[in-house]
Amino acid sequence: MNSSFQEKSLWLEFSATVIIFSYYLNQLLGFDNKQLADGSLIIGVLFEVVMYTVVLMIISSVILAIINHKDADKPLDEREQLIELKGSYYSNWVLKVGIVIAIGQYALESNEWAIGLHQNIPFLPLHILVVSFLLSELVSFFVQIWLSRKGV
Amino acid sequence: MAKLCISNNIRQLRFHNSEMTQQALADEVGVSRQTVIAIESAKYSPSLEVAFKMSAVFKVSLEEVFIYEP
Repeated sequence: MNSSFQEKSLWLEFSATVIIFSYYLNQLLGFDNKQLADGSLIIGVLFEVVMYTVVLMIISSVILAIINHKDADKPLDEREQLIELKGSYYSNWVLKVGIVIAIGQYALESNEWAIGLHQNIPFLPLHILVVSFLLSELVSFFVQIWLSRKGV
Repeated sequence: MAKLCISNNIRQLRFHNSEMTQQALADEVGVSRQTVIAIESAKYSPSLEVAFKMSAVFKVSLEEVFIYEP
């Protein structure tokens, strides 16, 4: 089966998210404890992640629209809408679990019940939120690509 | 993926309609070619609306396009 415009966009978005995810993790793993505790540095990394996400998505959409401008304007049909909905369903679960873990971690830290994990990784709830957001995006794209190929 | 219990005769009907292409059928019905491919290979069961549109394109009854096999 030839891949549709929708599937090509999903592959591009999936690749862009993998690049951004690895950039984020690479930055964090390269920081020492002092840098991890620096709020402005962490906000700077988050800002870069958001900026790169927007720029990569725009570039990939423009490239696809130039290559296949005929299909770029077409709305999603019923099967593609169903695939998108199923992708969102699984992606939402990943995000919900991440949010619950982040809230739990924050509650532990604020009540000083944590077992010392927050002392090693400052802003841990924030990182859990960002990672779960990026993971949920990856899950959404992966499920949509899988369903496009295997059938709904 | 659970096996769908609805098969179809779309391939034969396309052949008997001047060898209509999947893209031509997709344009007539208002879906993408990938959706026609998925329906034809029984990987996706279309909505009633799309099913009726397909039977209208081939000028046959719905039962001649789709077959329910419980």
